[in-house]
Amino acid sequence: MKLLFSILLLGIFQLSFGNDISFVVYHSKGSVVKTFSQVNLKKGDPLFLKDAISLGTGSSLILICSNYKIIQLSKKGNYTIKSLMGQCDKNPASYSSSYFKYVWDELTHPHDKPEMNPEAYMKNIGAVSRGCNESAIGIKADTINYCSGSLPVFWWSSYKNSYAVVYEQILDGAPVKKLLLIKEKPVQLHELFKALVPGEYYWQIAGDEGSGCERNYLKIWDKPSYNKAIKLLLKEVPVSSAAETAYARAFLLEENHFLAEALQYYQQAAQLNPSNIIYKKSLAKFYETNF
Amino acid sequence: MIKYLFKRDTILASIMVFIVMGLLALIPINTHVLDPIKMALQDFDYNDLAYSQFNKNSHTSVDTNIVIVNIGAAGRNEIAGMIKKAAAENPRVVGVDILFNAPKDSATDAELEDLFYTNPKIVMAYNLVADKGIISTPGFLVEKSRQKGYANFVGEEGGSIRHFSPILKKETTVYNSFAAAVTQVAYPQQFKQMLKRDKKTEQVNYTRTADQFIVIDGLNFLENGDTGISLVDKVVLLGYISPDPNSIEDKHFTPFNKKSVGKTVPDMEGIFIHANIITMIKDADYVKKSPVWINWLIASLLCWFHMSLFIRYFIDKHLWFHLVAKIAQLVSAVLFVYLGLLFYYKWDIKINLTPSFVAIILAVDVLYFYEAISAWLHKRFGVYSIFIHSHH
Repeated sequence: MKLLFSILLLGIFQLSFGNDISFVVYHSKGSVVKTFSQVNLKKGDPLFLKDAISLGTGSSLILICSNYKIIQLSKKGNYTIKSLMGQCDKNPASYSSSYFKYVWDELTHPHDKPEMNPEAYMKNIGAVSRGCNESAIGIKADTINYCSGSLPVFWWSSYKNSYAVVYEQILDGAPVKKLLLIKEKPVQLHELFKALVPGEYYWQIAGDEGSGCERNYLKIWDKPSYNKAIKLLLKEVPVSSAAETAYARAFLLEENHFLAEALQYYQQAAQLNPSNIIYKKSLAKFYETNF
Repeated sequence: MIKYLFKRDTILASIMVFIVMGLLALIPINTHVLDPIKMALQDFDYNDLAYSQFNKNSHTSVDTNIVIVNIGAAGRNEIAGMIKKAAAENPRVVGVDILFNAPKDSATDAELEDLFYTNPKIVMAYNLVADKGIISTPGFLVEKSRQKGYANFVGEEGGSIRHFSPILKKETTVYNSFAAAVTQVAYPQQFKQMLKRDKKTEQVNYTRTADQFIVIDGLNFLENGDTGISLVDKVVLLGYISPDPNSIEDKHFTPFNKKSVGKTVPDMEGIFIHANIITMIKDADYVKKSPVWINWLIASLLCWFHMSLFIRYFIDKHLWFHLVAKIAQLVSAVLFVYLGLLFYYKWDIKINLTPSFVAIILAVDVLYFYEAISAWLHKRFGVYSIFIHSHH
């Protein structure tokens, strides 16, 4: 009894002061190793977010999530713990499991004080916000004129799952198109806008429940009108050196929201004069990752 | 009481109180799990009463070194205009306590970018996100601004703001808080003094409420220019102050809140909290904390005196023991809170009396435990104890 009590106390102690454990190994069969340390996993081993595991042929592994959901792996291959986290259903199964999970979490959450670990307690921001902070994209794209051409745009969002969504109305309404976004990969707007018939639309980056910032205006043009509009715009650009002309065209097109064409000309300007920092910076906006 | 003060058992029982306290501190279980009072008081500090109930610093004069420009419902264009106009009046610094989350209008954004990039007297606020040791600074214009500081305070999420972290060091990068960044530009000497203190967090010494700062209307300032207040050599802070007292936009709980515990509405805009911090750094008027050894020395002495009193009634007048113990604990609690608050109210000295409280609360239970151990030691080894040789 005393031994059991001591083990229980030690366990609680470790859980309370240790890092956040993502999974605990429940069952392991065959060759299941931690990729970095090459240590074979056994029952009770904790797995953290930074870990990665490797399963050999015929091996299997059962993991318990922090919310007690069970995940079974039996396919040979390498897995990162981060990638497995998505399989843990955040909603516990029942009232009883929710209750005991709450009690357990409260009993074992780490002892901390704002004065000791300020970084963990800096969620109160003493400033007023201007603009939506739920999502952002690397370029100014509140209006896009589009017909064809590649248009990759980097994005950021605070949603668990993010989608690029096209609507017919500025508010409400059902989505016309929806594209699941992959974190840290640009949203391929040309994929999203593909097959849309010419007309006026609105698009945004939204979460699972459809919530998002203000919708952006999108105009899908038919080819002849689009070409005509671009030709008309570019007519105004004075011709100088090839790089300068390309940059001036790109700038004018961007200002008029013809972003796919603007990107092409920015690329052209940067290729023609790779030492020009302004050209590089302008092009970098499209590939911006730090918001 | 004196009769038992220097008895070996009194001293040993007092020591045992601290041993028990040490053991309890080692248990990592949060026993408040189902205790609503403890949960409700989680974000409570007795020193808050000095502000909310006893009007600490209510006599402080209006701070004439800081002018707060209320941006109200101004858009980016107007905000850019206000910054430009304020900067043109030769202030010490212009602190912009506004987060620009995303680009909006290219012309205005370019103007803002130019202001933040070219003028070393303009300090921009930003949001610092610390997630599992990784720091990020989301927001538009953050990277491009020359002087900047994070607007984050330190405290429970949605809790009372009592602390701030002056600077945050992460590997080779140093992040300044907004107030520190403003002070660095306006009062470089005082900024250096603050750095010398080398504190992870500082307690905010709230010397003024919102009414004790000069506030001008931003749109009026932009349109008419002459507000009757000179900005020359002043710290100008641009921020949002809602005309609606029930608005919670950029409002936070502070020790000034009349309701210290339970459900209430936030009471102070972030800009006023920053202004208080800036004043504190400028005047080097920091909250002083009593050294840990003093806290424990006070706790030891008080525990010893109480233990002597408890033993006296435990042995000589056991019928009255519990009543006297409870009254002594209650009187001590009232007295300690009074003394603790007095030091804070009068001299900005924060004394941690928690060890004293806990020691006195535990003393009664530990006394019973100590008596049992004494009995066992006496039976086993014949050790002398006043509990064995006196009968109650």
